[in-house]
Amino acid sequence: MTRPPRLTAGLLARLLPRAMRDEVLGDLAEDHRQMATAAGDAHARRWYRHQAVAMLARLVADRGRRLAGPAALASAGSLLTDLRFGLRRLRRQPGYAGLTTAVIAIAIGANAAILAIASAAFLAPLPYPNADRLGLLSMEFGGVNQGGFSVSYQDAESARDGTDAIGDLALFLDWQNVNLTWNGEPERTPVNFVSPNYFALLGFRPMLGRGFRADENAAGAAPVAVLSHGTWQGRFGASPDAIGERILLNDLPHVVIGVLPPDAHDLSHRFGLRTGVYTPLAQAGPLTGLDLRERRSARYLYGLASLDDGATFTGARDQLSVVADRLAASAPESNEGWTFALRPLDDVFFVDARSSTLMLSAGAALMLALVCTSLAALAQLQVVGRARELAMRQMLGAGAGRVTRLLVVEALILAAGGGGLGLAAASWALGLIGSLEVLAMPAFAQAEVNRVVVLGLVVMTVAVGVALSGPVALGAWRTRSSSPHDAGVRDTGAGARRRRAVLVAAEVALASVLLVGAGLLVASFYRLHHTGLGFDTRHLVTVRLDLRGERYAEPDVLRQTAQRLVDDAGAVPGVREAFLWSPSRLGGGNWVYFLTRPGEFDADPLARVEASRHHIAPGTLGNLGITLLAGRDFDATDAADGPRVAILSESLADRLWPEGAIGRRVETRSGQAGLELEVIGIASDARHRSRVNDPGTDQRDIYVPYAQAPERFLSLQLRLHPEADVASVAAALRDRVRAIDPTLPLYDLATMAQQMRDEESQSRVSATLVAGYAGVALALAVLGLYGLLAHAIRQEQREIGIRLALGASRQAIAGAVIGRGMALVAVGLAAGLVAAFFGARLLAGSLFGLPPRDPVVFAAAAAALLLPAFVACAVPALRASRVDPSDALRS
Amino acid sequence: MSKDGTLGELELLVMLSVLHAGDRAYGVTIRQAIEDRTGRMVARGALYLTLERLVEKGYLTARMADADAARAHRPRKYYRVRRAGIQAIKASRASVARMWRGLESVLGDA
Repeated sequence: MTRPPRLTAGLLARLLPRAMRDEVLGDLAEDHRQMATAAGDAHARRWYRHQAVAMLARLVADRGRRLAGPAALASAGSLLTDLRFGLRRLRRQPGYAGLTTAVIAIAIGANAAILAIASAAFLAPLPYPNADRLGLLSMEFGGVNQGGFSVSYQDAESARDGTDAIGDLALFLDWQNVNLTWNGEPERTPVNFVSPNYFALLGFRPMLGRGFRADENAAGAAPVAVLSHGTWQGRFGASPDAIGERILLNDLPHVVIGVLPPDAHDLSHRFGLRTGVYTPLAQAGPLTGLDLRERRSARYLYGLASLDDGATFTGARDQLSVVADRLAASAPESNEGWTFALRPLDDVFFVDARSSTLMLSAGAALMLALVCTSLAALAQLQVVGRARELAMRQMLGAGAGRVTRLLVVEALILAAGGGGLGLAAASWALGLIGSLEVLAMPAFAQAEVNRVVVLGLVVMTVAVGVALSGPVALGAWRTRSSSPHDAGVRDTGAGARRRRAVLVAAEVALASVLLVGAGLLVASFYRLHHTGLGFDTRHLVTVRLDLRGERYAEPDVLRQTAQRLVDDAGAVPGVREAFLWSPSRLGGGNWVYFLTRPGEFDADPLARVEASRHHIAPGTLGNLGITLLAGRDFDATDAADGPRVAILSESLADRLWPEGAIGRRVETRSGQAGLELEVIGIASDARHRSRVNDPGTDQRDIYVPYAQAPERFLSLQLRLHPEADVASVAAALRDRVRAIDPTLPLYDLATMAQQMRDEESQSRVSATLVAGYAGVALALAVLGLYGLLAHAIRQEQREIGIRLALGASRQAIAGAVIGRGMALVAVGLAAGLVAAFFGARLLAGSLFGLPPRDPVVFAAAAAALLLPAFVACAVPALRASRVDPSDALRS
Repeated sequence: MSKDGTLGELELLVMLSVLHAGDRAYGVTIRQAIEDRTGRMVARGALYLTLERLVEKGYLTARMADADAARAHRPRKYYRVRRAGIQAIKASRASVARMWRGLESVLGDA
């Protein structure tokens, strides 16, 4: 079905008076549909836009007439004429109009998008009552937060009991998923294990049923669960009967006792996790096997603390440091070097976003200021260029006010056009940013075009309008002469010209800085995009399974189930090979072994080498296209009861035994138990987890046979036929898995190609963004340069004429103009490259596979600037060389 | 437009068109009826402003109904001519007729 053009319809909906809105939009939609059937979509869209504009003009005129009475009629009429005239004039200079509008649109669009992000970051308060009294409790080792893992159960209890500044403390653990089965349908669901007081601290009140009671958090209590609103709607069809239902979490029965309201977004939500089900913290042990309460060093939990009345964060921190000292003394083996950290929620969620938002805002504001300045300069030149025409108009009887109005209207048309396009660009950019999970900053996802943004947009449009029409309003076009022949010859003095030259040089400098930045990011993206992972990613699909529950407690059952899954998956139509390789996901978590040569593990902790651990089956390496460089692959003899063996990646083997690793034994720990593995093979390096992380460092991987080290988390790899349909393969696979175990959800199904694209998206976005900015800056610089020279030549026409008459060659004239322009460019470019040379280090963290001072990029950026700059000089130079001496002297 | 209770030309056309369109008199059909009978396409903005004015004058009543997918789920605004509207139409015709009278020799009987 054809729909009216969305943007136009949306604008119309906003602009129409409420009483007329439905009627007009509905009628228009109906007519549009008929038009589309009769004349085609493209025609119908054009028709729609035309209708909208014509109608709005009529409505505006009518409202104006009603407000101002008949006296304003004439004026409104002539305004309409001015508008029409202005549009016609602009159409006759499409280059100037198009470029100006585009520059305004990009500058305003970028600013509006950033304003939206900023307003989400600064203006939206945390949706919790007393949020300013809440803090996140974590622990730090040697003053550094250890990877986000924060407090242990026992430490948290000590913290609460040892302070009186902390009034209440809730603990939660939110980084686990469980298999939620209801009605025989299993689904992978994010779980949040929480203290019973967690909801109360955040001000959540269940909309159905109740929250957790304190006794339900005791070990051995009957397991209960509270559903998030999303789960309740998605899985239980929003039925009130969900209360009292029995669900299985990882095969363990839980009774649903409550449902949270839709706006109950917990802290995890702000980190980008969507909790589906809550259970008391005491359930974390049975469900995940984590021993939370037994060990003081089990630092898996987050603490949400609320300050007691009258207490301050500083006071609480002082008390916490006393507690930490005491623990370090009484339990040095677990607490030596560990201190508490208590950060206000506001800091936790907004500080990062705020500093980057501030930087963005500063950049955008600078850009807008520059755009305005340049446009003002450009508008002035534009007007002076037309001085002859305008003087003619005046002589023919147009009043000074009328001429001014004509020019102001033109400027406003440009500003409004740019502003409108900017709004469209901003909402497009926000949609894009919001849909990218990689930008997990909460403020980014929540940014939208709201009232603040629209207001800012209006202010910016007016500012641009003023900049564009300022020179006109100040009478730049007016000439003291009464003869149109003389008009335009006179202009600003040397001071103004020098100022403009400095502006142009600054624009060139800025453009070269941004071009270098854009060049680096684009080159980095290009390299990332074309970097292989070291294994064959074509038509590769990953799915995950989690073999939780009692029935998989026996390793033998795990092994058999895994084998059956692989066999069944391999038989699905469209699947060429199925094989085991866990864990595997680009950008996902890895499992690690710490390895040493035998006997060194305890003797020399510094000698431990961290390596990513992969559980694979015989043939997996071949299936992945990873080459075996030495030794042998796993085979059937590497069974559960056989000697423990491992294959090392080349880099890891070189690190441990540069002299040759085959046949050596490597020591590690499995849980608390010691373990020695015999190295039977060496595999080529592969980037299993990511191309982005540590691109320069070694790929340290250790492969062990699944048969000897079965894990409940399972990643299954499917190599599809090139023409196989992923969705139907997934459906067939789901059926087969259900036949094996109906409570087993298949999750995280993704093609490797998709995962690679996801991994690249951040790089893609920043490259696009900076390239866009660089484009604007380049356009401004070129425009400014061209304007400056064109204007100078117009002023010096007489002088050029004299020189030509005295025998100067036309080449010499053109050369002088080009020389003058390129000297400015050289100054700006040199300054810009020096600034970029020192500033590029800021980008080092975002670059992949190239140094921030890559000479090729610097050279390319300089070339990208010089070429259009030369054209901008050459055009006026050519014009100068064509000056007719007799004309110039006579005028 | 005029203050004496008679109708302007466009107003008269719109009123008559509403009568022609009967139960289904809303923006699209009203405009269509005018075009069908006079060959003249009324500017959209002018039509809605005229309809608004006629409602204000008490010649038309309007109600909203029947939103469907064909019109982006916006309801139609159906118009009906009120008694005062009928009188205004008649008054307009009468004044035109008075103007015609005595000009038959020039204009014919049309």
